[in-house]
Amino acid sequence: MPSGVHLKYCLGLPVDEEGGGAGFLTGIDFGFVCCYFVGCLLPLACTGPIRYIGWEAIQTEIANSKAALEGVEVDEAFMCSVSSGWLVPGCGFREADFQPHYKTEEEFFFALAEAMSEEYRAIVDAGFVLQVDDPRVLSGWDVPHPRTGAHLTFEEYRQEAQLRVDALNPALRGIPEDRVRHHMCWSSWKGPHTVDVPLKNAIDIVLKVHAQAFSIEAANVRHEHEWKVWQDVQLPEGKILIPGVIAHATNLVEHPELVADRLVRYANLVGRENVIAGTDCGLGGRLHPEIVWAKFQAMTEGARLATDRLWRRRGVQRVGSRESGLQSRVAQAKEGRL
Amino acid sequence: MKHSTHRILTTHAGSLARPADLLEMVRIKEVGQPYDHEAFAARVRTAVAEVVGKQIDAGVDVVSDGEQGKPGFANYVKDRLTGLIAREGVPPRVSSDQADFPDFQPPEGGTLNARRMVCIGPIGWKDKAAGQTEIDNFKAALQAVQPVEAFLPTVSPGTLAQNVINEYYKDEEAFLFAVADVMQEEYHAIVQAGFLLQIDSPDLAMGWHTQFPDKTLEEFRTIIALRVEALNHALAGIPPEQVRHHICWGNGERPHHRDVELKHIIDILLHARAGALYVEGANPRHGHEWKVFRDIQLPEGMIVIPGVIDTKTNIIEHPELVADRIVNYAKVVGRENVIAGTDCGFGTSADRTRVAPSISWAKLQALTEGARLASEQLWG
Repeated sequence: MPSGVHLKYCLGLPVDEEGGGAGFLTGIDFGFVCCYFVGCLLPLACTGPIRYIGWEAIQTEIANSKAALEGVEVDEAFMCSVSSGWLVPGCGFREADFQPHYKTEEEFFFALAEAMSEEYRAIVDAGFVLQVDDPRVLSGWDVPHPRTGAHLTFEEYRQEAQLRVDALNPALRGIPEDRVRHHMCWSSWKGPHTVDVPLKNAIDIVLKVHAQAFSIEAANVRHEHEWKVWQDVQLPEGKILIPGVIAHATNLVEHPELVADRLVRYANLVGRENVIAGTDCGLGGRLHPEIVWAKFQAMTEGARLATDRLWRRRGVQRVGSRESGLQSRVAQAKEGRL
Repeated sequence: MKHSTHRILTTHAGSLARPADLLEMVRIKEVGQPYDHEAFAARVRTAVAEVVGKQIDAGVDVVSDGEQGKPGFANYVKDRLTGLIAREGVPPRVSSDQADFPDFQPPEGGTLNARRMVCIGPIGWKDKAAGQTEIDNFKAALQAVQPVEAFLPTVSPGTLAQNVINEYYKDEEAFLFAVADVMQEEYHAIVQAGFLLQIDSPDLAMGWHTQFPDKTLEEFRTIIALRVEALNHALAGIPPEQVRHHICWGNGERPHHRDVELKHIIDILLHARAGALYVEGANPRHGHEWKVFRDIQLPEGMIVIPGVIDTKTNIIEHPELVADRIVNYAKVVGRENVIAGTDCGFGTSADRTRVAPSISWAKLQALTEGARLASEQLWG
């Protein structure tokens, strides 16, 4: 965790100007856990030089993950870490928040990223794929300024997003691109989302991240249509898309056929070998825990159906016809095969 | 019933959020407390006018009265029909999808539907005037506006067979046809008043995972085939082109992974004497089922009203997604045979507001904007 950044306010509880006050809030770790998982819009304050002090914590996480993987076979395993860009709530973070310790916003962001790079490298050195969770790069537009409440102009938002990407990339220096996946979303509240920035207006910035794979929300009703962005945008050679085909927005379990339809749309545009099926965002805390596992099953079943279509049955005529399809199903039902 | 001859028309499933003050009146009336009948009647009348105006403002073409005076889309009949009572303390059914996740509580709220209707005597008319009042209120509200068409929703015999505990008739068939013989008067009155008639038949889809989780598919098909027969009996003499038939799998934000597949019941649904088949098509359990229509031949001139707006979440559909969904259907059944709708109602039970009222209106705007985009694609 970076140190030197303290929460001024957390979950509405007042703390003093030094970031102290309510005893547990002085703990920098709690502050960041809170900010990361609750996604609060509360301003942080920088009270000293940023540096990473989380070596022990990340090694414990790595050891836990490695222990859990013993005895199971997986294609790959990834661990999540937060982007420096997300650590600063909202866009429009301004001088009063980081001076006098850093002169400019750029210096501050780069220092945050540099500190977090230690965690990134630790994950990759341990043999895991690193997932950088970076919602702010998209959600920055619809989140109002933490103090003024005003929304950024589109150009201001793009500058803020660009700054976050510019700061993140040096933190990924030395890590092979194929060990990094970059996750972004429009924040996860179950509300209207009518002011989300369109993907087409931000994808050029996102694709500058030094990552091989990009995980993007695509299952919820505000962004499902954005598979068409890839009709106009060329996915760079060797990159992978991880579209969300399962939504955290609803407790309805997606039908595997719908999951397959979604995957095939992407595969047809960017190549089947460049698509990995994913979830819109983290499902923990947003859905009933058991429904989460049912959704994973729907996702894997949908991926199987899509694979059938994209590989083994490519070019094979669809079974049944307009006339015979229903009769055939009724016959199957009678035989108890449905 | 008008087809989408020049552009994609829009509609919704009928019920809309009640204003807060009216909802409070409905609540008081429903729990049997004394209330000011005149004040209630007057507020229903103004509320109908308000929601009609708001539908027009949102750009909806085929509008309803929002079922403003009803406590729910089905249980209102207990106030109109003899032989029915509302009974406290009947344990709610556990649907098969919920049984798989026993500790999951759907985020639904609402208590007005908690009491179960029970049939304890012959079904007949107790308050026919209520239906006429509904018609009069709607007509009055329509004086000031000019929608493309107007419809009134009402409940099917089959849905009452699902929702009512029958302790009087010897079996479901006898109950169904007794209800059909009585409810046909309401159906005829709506059509004679010049409105399209919408029959709400959620039982035909949601019945499997809610009422009959232990039945085989074939057994369920037999049950709903009889219900459609009873409905057709009630619809005798009404031109099918005046009837839209709404089907859904239950309007709750729950897993729905045990829902019967549309492809397994569509042939039975098409037997109903209705000019339009109205099915959920937006939520992620049924969003793929536009493809079912590739495999069937719709009767000549039949309209499909797919849900292209989910009524179970508060995220507002992007109009481009709405347009994509409409185009999927239009390419399969013909653009003139598609009217864009919502999956279900925004106020199926008056006090169960899954979607915030303000968001429900924004969703209707997304619907009409999506239909505009689809029309551009389909007509050029």
